[in-house]
Amino acid sequence: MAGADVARDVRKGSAELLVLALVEDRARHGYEIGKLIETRSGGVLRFHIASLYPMLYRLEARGLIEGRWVEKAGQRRRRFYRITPAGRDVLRRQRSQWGEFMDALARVAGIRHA
Amino acid sequence: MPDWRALVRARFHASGLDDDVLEEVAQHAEELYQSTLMEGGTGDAARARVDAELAGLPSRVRAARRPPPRLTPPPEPPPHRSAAVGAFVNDLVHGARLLRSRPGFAFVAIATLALGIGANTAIFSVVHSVLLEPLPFPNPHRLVMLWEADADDPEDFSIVSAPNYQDWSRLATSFSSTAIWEYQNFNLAGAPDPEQVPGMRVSSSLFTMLGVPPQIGRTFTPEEDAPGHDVLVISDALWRRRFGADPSVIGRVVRLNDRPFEIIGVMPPSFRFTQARHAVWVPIQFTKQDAGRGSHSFFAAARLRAGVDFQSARAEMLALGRQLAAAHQENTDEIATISRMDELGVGDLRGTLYMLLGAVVLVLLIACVNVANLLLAQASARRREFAIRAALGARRSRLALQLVAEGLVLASAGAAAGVALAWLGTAALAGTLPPSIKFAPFREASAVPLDPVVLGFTLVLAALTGVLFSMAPIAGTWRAPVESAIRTGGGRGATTRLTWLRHALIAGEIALAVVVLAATGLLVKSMMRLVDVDPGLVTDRVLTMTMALPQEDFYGAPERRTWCGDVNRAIGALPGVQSVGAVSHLPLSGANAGRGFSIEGRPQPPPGDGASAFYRVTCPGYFRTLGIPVLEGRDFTLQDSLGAPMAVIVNERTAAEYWPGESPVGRRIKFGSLTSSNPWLTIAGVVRDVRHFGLDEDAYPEIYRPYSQVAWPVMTVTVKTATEPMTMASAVRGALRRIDPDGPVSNIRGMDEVLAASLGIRRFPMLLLGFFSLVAFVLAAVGVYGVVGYLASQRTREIGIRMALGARRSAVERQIVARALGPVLIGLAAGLAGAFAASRAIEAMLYEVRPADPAVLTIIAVSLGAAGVLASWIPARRAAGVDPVVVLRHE
Repeated sequence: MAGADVARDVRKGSAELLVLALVEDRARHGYEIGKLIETRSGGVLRFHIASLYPMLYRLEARGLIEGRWVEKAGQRRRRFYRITPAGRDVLRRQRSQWGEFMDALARVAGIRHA
Repeated sequence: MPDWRALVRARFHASGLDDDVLEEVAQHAEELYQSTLMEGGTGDAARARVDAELAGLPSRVRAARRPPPRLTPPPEPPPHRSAAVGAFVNDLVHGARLLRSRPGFAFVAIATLALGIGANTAIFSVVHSVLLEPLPFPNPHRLVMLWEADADDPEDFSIVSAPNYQDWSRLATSFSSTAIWEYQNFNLAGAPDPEQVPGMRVSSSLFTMLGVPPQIGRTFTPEEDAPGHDVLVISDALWRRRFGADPSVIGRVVRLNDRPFEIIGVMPPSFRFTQARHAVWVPIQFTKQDAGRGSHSFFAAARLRAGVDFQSARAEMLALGRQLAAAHQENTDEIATISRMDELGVGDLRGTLYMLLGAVVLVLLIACVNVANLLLAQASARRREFAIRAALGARRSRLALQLVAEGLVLASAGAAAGVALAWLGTAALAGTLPPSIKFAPFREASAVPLDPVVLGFTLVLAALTGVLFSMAPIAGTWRAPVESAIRTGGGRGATTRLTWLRHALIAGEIALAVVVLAATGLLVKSMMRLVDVDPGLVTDRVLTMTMALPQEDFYGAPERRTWCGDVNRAIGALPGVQSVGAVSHLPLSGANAGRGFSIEGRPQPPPGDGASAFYRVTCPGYFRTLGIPVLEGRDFTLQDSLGAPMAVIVNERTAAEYWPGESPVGRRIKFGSLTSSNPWLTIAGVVRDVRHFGLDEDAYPEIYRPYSQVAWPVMTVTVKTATEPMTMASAVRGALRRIDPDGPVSNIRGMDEVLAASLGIRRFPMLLLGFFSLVAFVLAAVGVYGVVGYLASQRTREIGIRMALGARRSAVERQIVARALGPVLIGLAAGLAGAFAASRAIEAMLYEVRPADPAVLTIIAVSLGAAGVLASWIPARRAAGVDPVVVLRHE
């Protein structure tokens, strides 16, 4: 279960990056965000409800994303999250930091991208 | 499928999560449940998964919802800054937060200060532009005006004659250059409309003396001071308006007063000589008419030579004046003197403007007192905080500094709002400025107040106010024993010292208000006296407009002999016109001319003692139109033409002065000396006196002549109408245009307006002071109300006990009011004394009202006293309305 341990630690550190990246191009609701993280990571990264929503609220309180109830015809209303200009700045910074970090890992530990 | 909404709500209903969160989470739970089922899980497994995912939700949401760490932490004092400065900066930040936490208090305090600071800034901007700003010329303090004056009254300057000016220029050593000019209106012909343009004849030395070069072209050469050079310098405004700012205008020939003039230069936009409206300058080119030493027509100025001071230049001019007086009979009893050029036209305004500035400073003080009162109430509430901090070792000076910081924050906010208010107020102020201020020579009084000097003044004012009113609470909290303050929590036991201070503030506020109100009252009473004065004419339903006529020789025969008859026919035929006339110098308009005359059969008096009167040229119908009765003899008619005997009409004052006890009708006079070649004129009638120079001026001797016998280049047509005069304006103007298509018409206004404008210099300070008084009155009443209300609320317990013991409500009310009345009465007394002293300063602005006018002072004292009673009675009533049971139960 070493994979799961790594996943838990990385998840903590990278959660912000993941959420910001997912709402970068379009607004998404909470379930969609959680689902996308899970499917795109091939099931390696998963967030419980009790972790996902507090994280969204924290990002919102910091002004990085913005949640809004949206009503669409024929559907029930849902809360959609979109990125803010401040969020974009943070995302850009985190991407480059994570990029450097991954490069460093690759050089030191011989990890190769698939 | 389980109802996840209900389940989520049931699970978390006591956790304090809001509906939005519950709804969102329930949706997620539902979808998770469904997707687990679709992946092949059982209902129980799916439900267990969702339950597991929800574990711990409330505490995490609460943690996430806590306010984020501030993005900009409070500024850490940089290492080079001393700890004290850092602490003060923190105090400022703290002060701003305190204000934000008390919006009601902040609004009242800032609005009060803004009113005081805004009014001060607006008035100061006028004072600054009119009195303080240097003239727009290089080294302006070296420029002086040259004057002649009466030996008996050396401060009564008069304009100068050309020969005297020429002698001064030649003989004086104090000046590096001198210049002379005469104001004149010019008829500028051509498209789109002929236009009357104000300007002057000037000596070529004027522009070099001022030190201002033209922006294009050149100014006059000394050769052009001699006749035969028809050249013209124009203003930037005229250049833009009339010639589209075309640089090739230099060399262009325009028709000025029906003669071709070549434009040789355009002055820069900033050149105001002497007012922005002056647009053309032509060479002086003295004529024969200018040659008399007694012919005072010109203004003259000079620039002091380097190293010569004002006093020695003045001494030299006085000496030169004596020399000329001894040498020339016409100059007997005349002296020569100088004044500073920056005092031209504004010397008389100084008193008015400084009085207004003084009044707004008083209003600002009242505003400060009010804010101090507010802060004092705050300070009482915060006594405990301060006492504890002092007990914990905070130094008094540290606490004082914090209050000063809070005061400064408040004052800065007040100043910002005040500048905004001043910005708005200046527009309103510009509309009420009387012409003498608006068109003060060389100035632009309507300028926006946000000039660096004015802003600096406002900031200094704000800082002073901030410190001033924050000191009051400090004084109150200074020596209070620490332990008692902590124990009582700043409550009842500790307020006596502050009560004393509060009462002093009330007294001060009332006193200041009395001073402002008294000044206003005196000006209002003067104005009431003044508008009751009979001007000697009827201004109702009279339309006036000024028309320039072609006339080379001012005192010669009219070039348009039939003009009066033409005007009478053309305008008299308009429906709604009752009578028509015209006059060279309209009463109350400021226009004037005067001449000396000799009386047939009397010896030639010594020079300087001859008869003289003001000089008017009229068309028949003028007296009737303005309601000036002919008391004796007859009015002019169209038959008083060049072929007929020369006729004049005199006013009562002339008759009384020169023919006391007899009728002047039929007597003959001539202008100038007995030996002059001027024709004899027969007095045909006597008319009633008119207060030509204003309601507050006496009537002077006046002599009227018919236009058909002697011309004048500018005539004001007067029309009595059946209805509102301005409705006839375009019809009358059209009729004048038909008579004289090239003659420019200007100054179209009703005679009522002319009268109102003549009162402008009095109305302006009165209106402004009236406004300030209103503000002072309201602020003082609010101040009394606030303090009495506060003190009464502090005594709730005492009042409750007394009422429980059987005190009558009315007795309690009376007692509270009586306590407040002490300081009000002291304030009234101090204020009356102050008003008495201050009113001496405005004595010159009063008309038939004594500075210590008992009626005015009584009205003010009674109304302020009544306001004080009312302002303390309202909170007294509320305080006495307490239910003793409620009060005592709370103890």
